[in-house]
Amino acid sequence: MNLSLEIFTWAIGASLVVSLASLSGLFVFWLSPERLNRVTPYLVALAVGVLLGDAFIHLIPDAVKRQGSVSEVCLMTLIGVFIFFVLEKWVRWRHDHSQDFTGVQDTIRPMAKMNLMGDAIHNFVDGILIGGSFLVDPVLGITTTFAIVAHEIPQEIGDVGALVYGGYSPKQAVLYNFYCSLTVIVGAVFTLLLSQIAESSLLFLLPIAAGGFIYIAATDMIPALHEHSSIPNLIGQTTIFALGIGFMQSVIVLENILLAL
Amino acid sequence: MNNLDTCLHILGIELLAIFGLVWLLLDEQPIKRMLSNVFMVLLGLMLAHAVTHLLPNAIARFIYSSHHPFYSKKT
Repeated sequence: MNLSLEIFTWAIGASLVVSLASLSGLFVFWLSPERLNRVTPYLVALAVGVLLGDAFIHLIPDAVKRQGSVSEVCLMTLIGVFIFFVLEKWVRWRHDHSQDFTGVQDTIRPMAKMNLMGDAIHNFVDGILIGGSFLVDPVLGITTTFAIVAHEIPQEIGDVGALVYGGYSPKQAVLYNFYCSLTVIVGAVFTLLLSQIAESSLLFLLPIAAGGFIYIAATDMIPALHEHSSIPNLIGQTTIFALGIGFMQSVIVLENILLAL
Repeated sequence: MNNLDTCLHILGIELLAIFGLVWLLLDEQPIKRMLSNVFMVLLGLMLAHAVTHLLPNAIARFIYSSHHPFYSKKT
């Protein structure tokens, strides 16, 4: 592990690529407001598939590989679910509180704010992975970055849909999602400067991020999908949900190919 | 991989792309103006670097590419 200016610059550059990928939600500007309204439930379905896929296919197995103990990872994931439950309680309390005392109606659903928080933690974890892989080998760093970008793009598209559904305007949704993605750089710099602490922090950050994703998808997004119960919605949302999971599984295959190079 | 110039140029291009896209999304005029100033400064720096370093290097490589001593000095 040797930190040089080149390694530092490459890691920051790779983190910026991931932040750029978060702007993939810009496609919503090509859609008319009516079409966006029609598409949003399907984007939420994509977000559910991708978030659950990310938690169960990437984050938890990675945490088990690092931790070595399934029961400890499950416990940490449960703690993650609990932390996000408390966070949502706090967000809802603030939501009600601001309505009572300022008289200003906050139209943003707590789900959207939770999604932003979960995304920020997840991106911080991605930054740690990028920084750590560049410290080991720059080529490994580049392949890791490609793998992260591959799973980031569908997730960011789904997230923008979930944020629009949560009450943000399309512009705000893309912009706030981008701000949250900047934690990738924080994570990478944190790892480059304090690699030992960052490596060990992954043991609890990975399952906590997984717990957050499971909580947001299961408690906030899936009930939102049940609000639309027509046959086209049933078929469309089910297919897109499955596509989200399938995409995250296919990223595993891509990761294996990239790492084998 | 080990060329710091290449790293910095990639970083600069990424930053320019990010500033450009974020500029489109912002509504507040003062922040937009500040971002466009930063964009122009960064673009200026990259162009200045390209004119003073990359262009002379490319011309020298083109002129001396068939010149044996050029290679022997580099290696």
